[in-house]
Amino acid sequence: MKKLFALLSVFVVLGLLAACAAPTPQVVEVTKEVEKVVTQVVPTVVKETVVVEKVVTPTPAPSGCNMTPPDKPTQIDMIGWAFPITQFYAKELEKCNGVPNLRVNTLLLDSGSAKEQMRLSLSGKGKSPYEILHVDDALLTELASQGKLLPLDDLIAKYKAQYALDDIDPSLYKLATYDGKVYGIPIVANTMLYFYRTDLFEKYGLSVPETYDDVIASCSVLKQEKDLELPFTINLHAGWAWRIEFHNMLKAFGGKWLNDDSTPAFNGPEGVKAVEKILEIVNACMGQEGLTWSIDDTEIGLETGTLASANTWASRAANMDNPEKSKFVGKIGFAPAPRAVPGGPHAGPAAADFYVIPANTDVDPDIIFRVIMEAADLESQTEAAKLGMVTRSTIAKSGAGGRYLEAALETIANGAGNYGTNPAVALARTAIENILPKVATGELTPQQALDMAAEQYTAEARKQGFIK
Amino acid sequence: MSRQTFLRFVAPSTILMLLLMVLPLFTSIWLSFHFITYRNLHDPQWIGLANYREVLTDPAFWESLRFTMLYMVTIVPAQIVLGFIVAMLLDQIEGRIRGVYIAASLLPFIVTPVVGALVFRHLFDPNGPCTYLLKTLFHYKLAMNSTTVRALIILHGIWYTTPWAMIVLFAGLQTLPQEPMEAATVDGANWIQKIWYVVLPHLRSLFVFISLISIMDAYRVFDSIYVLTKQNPLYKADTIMYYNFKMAMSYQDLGKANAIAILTVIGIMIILIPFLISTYRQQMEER
Repeated sequence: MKKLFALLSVFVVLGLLAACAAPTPQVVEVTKEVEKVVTQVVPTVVKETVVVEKVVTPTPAPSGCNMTPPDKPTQIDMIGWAFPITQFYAKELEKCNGVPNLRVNTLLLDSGSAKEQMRLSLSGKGKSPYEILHVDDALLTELASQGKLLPLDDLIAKYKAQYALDDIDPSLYKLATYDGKVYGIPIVANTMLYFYRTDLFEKYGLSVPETYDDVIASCSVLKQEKDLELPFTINLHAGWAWRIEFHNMLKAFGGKWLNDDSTPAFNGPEGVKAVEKILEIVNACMGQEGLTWSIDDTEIGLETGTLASANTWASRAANMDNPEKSKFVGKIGFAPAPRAVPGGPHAGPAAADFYVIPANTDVDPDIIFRVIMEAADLESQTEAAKLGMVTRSTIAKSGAGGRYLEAALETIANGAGNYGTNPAVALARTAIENILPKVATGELTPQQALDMAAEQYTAEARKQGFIK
Repeated sequence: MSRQTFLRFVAPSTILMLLLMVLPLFTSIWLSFHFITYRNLHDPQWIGLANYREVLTDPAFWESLRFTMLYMVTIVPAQIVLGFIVAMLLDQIEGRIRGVYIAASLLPFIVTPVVGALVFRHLFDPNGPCTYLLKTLFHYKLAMNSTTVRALIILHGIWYTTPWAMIVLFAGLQTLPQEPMEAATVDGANWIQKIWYVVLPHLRSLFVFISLISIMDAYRVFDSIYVLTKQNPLYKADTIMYYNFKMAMSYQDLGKANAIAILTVIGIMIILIPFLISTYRQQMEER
């Protein structure tokens, strides 16, 4: 009996330990859209949890919610996905619970579940159960093209002066625009930048690369450095990572994903050049080993000195100056993403997340908009800048957003941009993710891979009615 | 027991099963005959068997089925053999230390599956400890390709599922009567003969039970695939469930995803029917 009791005690203790160690759902999900959500693996999660705790610590904002109370009891429900900056924004929205007649609930899930919930809730014929949706630019386009979102132009015009809405970068409003109407308030942005070790560049007399040909040339020099595992990397460890790099390079070569009639354009000459350039980078700088480097590995490589340079996500830049994480504080420089051709666009994307209002809401959009403004105003974004790339130019100019921000904004403004407003591009992206990595092993040539992806896309797009 | 009393007892569970299992299954069958995405959720279009035809003619489906089968035929025997060996070893241990060993052996089973897979992945990441050790001790650079990633997935599957087989077989060993073992000893049977002629027949029904559950589990493996492949098609390690997930979430082709789900159910039934017949016959014999 004693043995049984002892055994049971061990199980209970182990069970409790396992339960304590179990992650929240958002740890698990990996979205394919934007890096900041994509690679939440264990070390990142730990880091982010620490940051979140800082945010959650009861430090009341200087002002709280400044809006006037609604005339009648109003409930506003927000749904989105969790990462440090959106968790901060959710707390900002919840501050409006102090306003009479107003109740604000926020629900942050993992990105996949949140997007599924949003699609399902908006596909119904009744009223939306959510008044504020946190979406990325791809989901915004998808929902706006189906008429499920409320255009915000009138509200933006009405509150432009009060909330200094002109301060939000115009290129970000552009990402929220579908068919000439603005559907979202940009709350967080992201792009890819060139990160490089300034000390090594000085040692070898290298200048900051302007184009990928310069990057390739720098690789042969940096290979002399013994402590390095790689002189440079782009992220090609997953299907979606290939798709992002392909997008950057395709647009940087002047190509496009789809023609106006939704037929594929990505398998044209620019697409082939894009894939060939990616392979050239792999061969000159990364090797087969570099194909497994995830975004986390890239960040760690830069922080620990095993990687000299990389084109990776801006959301990783803040950690370069964090002495708890990086051995090279102040020695990592930031430049806009390299170009594919001299004078062409930077090969870095423009990604952003937005707050949007569903078209079928029964709550006064004016009230919803003012609640959103509590998260998007200057005061809130100044605090949020410690957690991610905010969208107000004032903050970038003040330097509060970090050393990388100038290069990031240049890449967003003059880079590869986003995937465009044709909702069919989502299918093309999936086809590229499924097929393009096969060029790495020589299983397919660039042209074969792109043609195969185009064929797969066309079949699905025809079935779903995008191609007549 | 009267028929009416019997019906009253079984009615609640039957109704629940109808609501939670049969109804969704029939809904899924119905959806599989339609073209349906999030855009036409309320207006699905009847397309007959087109979804099934598309799935069955898609090379990606067959590739994912092949890897699912490979996973299944490696994991199931491996976990039974290893589980049996560990259970036998544990059975030899006496005293309090046995509890500690059991608890330690169960750890992989206690850890949340995705967390286990994440930890496993980090061990072999470019900056992971296993990669570092291989490089430092053996000057071997671990390269992730379809072979290594598939091997890691299978290794993780064995690591994760063996404790379950072990604990079931260990429980079975505790019910082993001493008389046949003593009789075998008197008859001069050696250790292997005792296992072959006494222990294994005693555990036969448990082996069938473990196989049954493990086959179903292996057939619907998803977490470790999602985490360990990092969604890279280069590794050619998609399983049926992951293929289904991609169809539903990336292409948003819900009708086709339901067709895959139905084919999966049919596939599992085909594999399990021999086991079910065997179990049924055994039950009948025992009566």
